[in-house]
Amino acid sequence: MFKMEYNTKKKEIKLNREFNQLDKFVLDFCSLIKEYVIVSGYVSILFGRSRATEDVDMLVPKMSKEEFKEIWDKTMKNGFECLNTSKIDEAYKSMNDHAIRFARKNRPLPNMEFKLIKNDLDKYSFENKLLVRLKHGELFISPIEMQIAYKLFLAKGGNEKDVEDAKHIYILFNEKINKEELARLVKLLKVEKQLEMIQ
Amino acid sequence: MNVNLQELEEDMSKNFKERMNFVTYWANYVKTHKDEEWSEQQNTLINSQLF
Repeated sequence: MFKMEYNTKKKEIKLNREFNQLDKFVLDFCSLIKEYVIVSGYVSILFGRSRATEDVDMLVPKMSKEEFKEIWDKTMKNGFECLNTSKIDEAYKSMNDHAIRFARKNRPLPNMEFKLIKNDLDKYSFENKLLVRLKHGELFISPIEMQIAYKLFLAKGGNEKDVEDAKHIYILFNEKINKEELARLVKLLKVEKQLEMIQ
Repeated sequence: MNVNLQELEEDMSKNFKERMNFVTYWANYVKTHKDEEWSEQQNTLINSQLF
């Protein structure tokens, strides 16, 4: 019995969850960005993990300064601020080096880690993203198989939270997971042993 | 102060196993209940931690 509607061909999931304040923050921010994918911890939380998070990871394609200015202006107009700097030039420069964080004005928690797509894993997540349709909006998330494999990779660092996130998603989507693709990603990230821990 | 590291590590390992059991329990709950039912419970936790 699987209550969520996951259409693997259309790459769409329909979720009738009740909204919390974290979802509202994420949807409000995502509605301002055209191209992105949400990855990592919030994806597990969106699907019911029994934990909160202080930051949400968003990957965005490389962009020109003009494109960034458009995003910057929109976020400022809609009540967000950048926690790293109030100067757009500095923010744009920093992005090449590390994530920049956006939060609602005068409320640093929760915040959005806004990161450029930098490697093939990021690119894979972006190009294979899933659309999640919620009662009050939509958002793009990384594919389930990558979500599991990457969380297992992070778990190598010893953080139990990451194994738990991977296990939650694995159990939830077990019948719908593309097992061959998961095996490929697990092999690529060398997390075969970690996968055994959650099976 | 005497610290038995082996005992502490065994405790940590037991705690981790117990947590993983709960993750399994909760994931199965989410899987077999309406979105509205599990999310209402999860929201209590998230809203209380962050807002």
